[in-house]
Amino acid sequence: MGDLFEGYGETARGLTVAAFDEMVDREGTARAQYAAVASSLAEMGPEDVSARASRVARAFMDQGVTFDLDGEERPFPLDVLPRIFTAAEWSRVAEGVAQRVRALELFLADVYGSARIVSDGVVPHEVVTSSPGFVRAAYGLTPPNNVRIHVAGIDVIRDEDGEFRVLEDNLRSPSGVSYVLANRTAMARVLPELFWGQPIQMVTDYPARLINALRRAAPASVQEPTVVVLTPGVHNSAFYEHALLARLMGVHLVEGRDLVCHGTDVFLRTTEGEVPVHVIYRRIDDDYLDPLQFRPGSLVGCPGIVNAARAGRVTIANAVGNGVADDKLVYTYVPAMIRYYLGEDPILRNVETMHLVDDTARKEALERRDELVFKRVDGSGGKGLVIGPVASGAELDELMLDVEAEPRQWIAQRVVALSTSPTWVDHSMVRRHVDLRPFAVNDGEDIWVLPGGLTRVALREGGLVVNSSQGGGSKDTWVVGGGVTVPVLPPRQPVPPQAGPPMDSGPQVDTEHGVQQQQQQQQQQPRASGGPA
Amino acid sequence: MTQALLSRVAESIFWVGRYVERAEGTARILDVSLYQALEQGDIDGAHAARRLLAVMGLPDSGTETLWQATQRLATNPTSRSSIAGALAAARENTRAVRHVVPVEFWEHINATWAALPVQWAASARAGPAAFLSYVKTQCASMMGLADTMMSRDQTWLFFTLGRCLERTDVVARQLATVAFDEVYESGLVILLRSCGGYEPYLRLSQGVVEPGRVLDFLLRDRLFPRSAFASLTLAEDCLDQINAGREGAWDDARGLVGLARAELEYSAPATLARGLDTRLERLQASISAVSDAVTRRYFAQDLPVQWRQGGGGGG
Repeated sequence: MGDLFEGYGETARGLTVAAFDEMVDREGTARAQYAAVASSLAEMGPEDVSARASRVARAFMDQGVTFDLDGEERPFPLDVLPRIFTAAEWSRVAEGVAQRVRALELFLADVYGSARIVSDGVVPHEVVTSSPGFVRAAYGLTPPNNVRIHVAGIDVIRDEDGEFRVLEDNLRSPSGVSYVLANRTAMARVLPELFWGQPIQMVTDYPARLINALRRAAPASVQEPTVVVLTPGVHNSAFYEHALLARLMGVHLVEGRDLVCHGTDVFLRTTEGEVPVHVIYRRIDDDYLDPLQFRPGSLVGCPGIVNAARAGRVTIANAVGNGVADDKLVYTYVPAMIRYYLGEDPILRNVETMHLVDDTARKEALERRDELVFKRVDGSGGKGLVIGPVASGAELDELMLDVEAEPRQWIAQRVVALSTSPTWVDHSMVRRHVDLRPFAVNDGEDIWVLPGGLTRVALREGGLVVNSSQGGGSKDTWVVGGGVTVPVLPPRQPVPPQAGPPMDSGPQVDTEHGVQQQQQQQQQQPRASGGPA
Repeated sequence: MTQALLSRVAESIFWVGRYVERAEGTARILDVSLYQALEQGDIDGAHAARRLLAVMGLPDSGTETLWQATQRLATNPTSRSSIAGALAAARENTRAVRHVVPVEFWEHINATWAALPVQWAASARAGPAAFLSYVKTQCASMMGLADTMMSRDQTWLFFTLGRCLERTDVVARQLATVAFDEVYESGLVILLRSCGGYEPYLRLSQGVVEPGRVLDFLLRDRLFPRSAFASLTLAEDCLDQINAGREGAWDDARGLVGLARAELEYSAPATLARGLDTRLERLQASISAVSDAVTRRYFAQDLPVQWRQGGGGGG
């Protein structure tokens, strides 16, 4: 594999030693799907690889693909080595994710309806009603095409044996897909030689899939639905993504103050008066969405839109109340849901999780608090997360008090050594932990999983937290082989497209005339022969 | 009526307009076809290479890779269809008429041309993304300088006329290589992107990409400045102003542009795709014919007369 990978992973310590490596197997050979990329990088040599890495960073700065850290705009670090899945590996992930979303859709329809799953004793009543994401206002709010999870981000990790496991579900406003699109574009421009000869499944049609799903979610009576993206505004950390999706879907990017409700209809304030809106792809939390229903003090929402949705005049995507299904305690029941609703075995397993409402389990978990990871059930983005082995004594003491005070709000899991991937840090390839967020789009007929998804990488040595605010970066994620790869204009006939006529040209320079012009100059300015004409 | 212009000067400035527009259009097409092919897993880019050469009207050996085709279209200094060739020609023509264009315009075009080899060399290792982006930005600055610095006199009119005709030609060429009856959505996206119209189109259509609408948009959208209709309308306007004071007198060029524009404008949307091949051929032929007619009418100049020593007389 060349110098670049020499000694790779030899300095790994702690949990990292046990982790599954994405590129190199236990015998130290590179997996087949990585061979071409590894040798291309090795051929470049360390200097060139570093130069390319800084060009990626510059490209991100220029495009504004940044996140705010302590009030400073920084490029979201993108590693030069992609993460590569074979088509077979990927189909397992994609099928598992789609299966999960199917079951979660049925669960949401059920808990905001007749709650059969509760009366049949599969999920306890208290678990549902005590969830911070359970929204009573969503009861009886049936979306037009029965889709509540228009976009899902199901976080998947690989355990020590390389088995894919679901770590958590994100069914409210999963973010990060813009990085998938930006990463691919930047990699193709800065490191094109990695791409040659690789049948990589494309990611560029994500916005088209999303707009299609959103249009299909429109109220049935609407022929030409108006879709908008609702953002909290330019100061939100994910604003870049909101703007990118609006741009690539060709729809308005609106803030709450751009919308107005009259009765049960929602309108957009425009230079041509008020224009009706039919589908709102919102990137605002339930709590802030509608001050009439939720937090009265919210300034970023629009009063009345939940009522409009209940009247069937507008569709809110993702639906209000989805938080009950991505609650981390409810997560432990998802395998049971899959069996209950679909009659299938789960394709992807969960990570072993302890219920802390149960007294004996809580006691055991808290005794082993220095070896487990504790998560708040409604936490996301690395908030409400305590990793036992790396937490300080004081943090663990505080955790104990928190858990005892609100056991329903916490779960405990075993610490999984996330799989690792070679990552370019300070001019060398080192082992770093990665996770994966595949994105699924549900258009009501089909659940489509974006091939690849977002791989985040913890750039700190031994780190298990991949969030950008905690020193995380990302990797372009490839699915190689299978699937649709070549939808580039097929020729009309088996022959290549017929050539157009040659382009027009201006008059040719008349050489004889030019020579004479030069002679003139020489006669007039004999000493300035090299000077400008 | 604006002040008359030397025929020779008018011809040069007309071709500056065409060549700068061509360089920019070519950079756009190369950027899109190369990187879209990579991003979409078109393994060797073979199909993209065929399309590229067809769009540019270049002979195709059938074996050239996308990379080689890109290189040829970016750097070949002797072909007027390549970026380097078009910019060299634009620079030569500007040089001859630098006394009538803003000094910034000449300096910009000269500096852009002079830096091309360095820019290309810098791209040699990692591919031409930076080179293409350089060309696009420089051409846009030239157009911006012309738009903000030049009087709306005959110089500007001939320059703009050249730009409009070239634009129409490029759109027609691009459309001609797409099989509209069986095209995939991503093919349409490539088409829209290389015409610079992807995002305006999306906003217009609320994200729905379908062949009929794309065709309608690129051929005759009224607001998008790169549509064939918008370019032809502007070309008509330029010819009208050039002809001011001679209204009513027949002008071949004006007649041809008007016919081409009217054919687009008054065709029912449903019929636009029917017989598209012949329609586009006609459009391309019209552009060439307009260019010839403009040359005949305005640029007519005798070749320099060379006196020869007579045979017997007292000479």
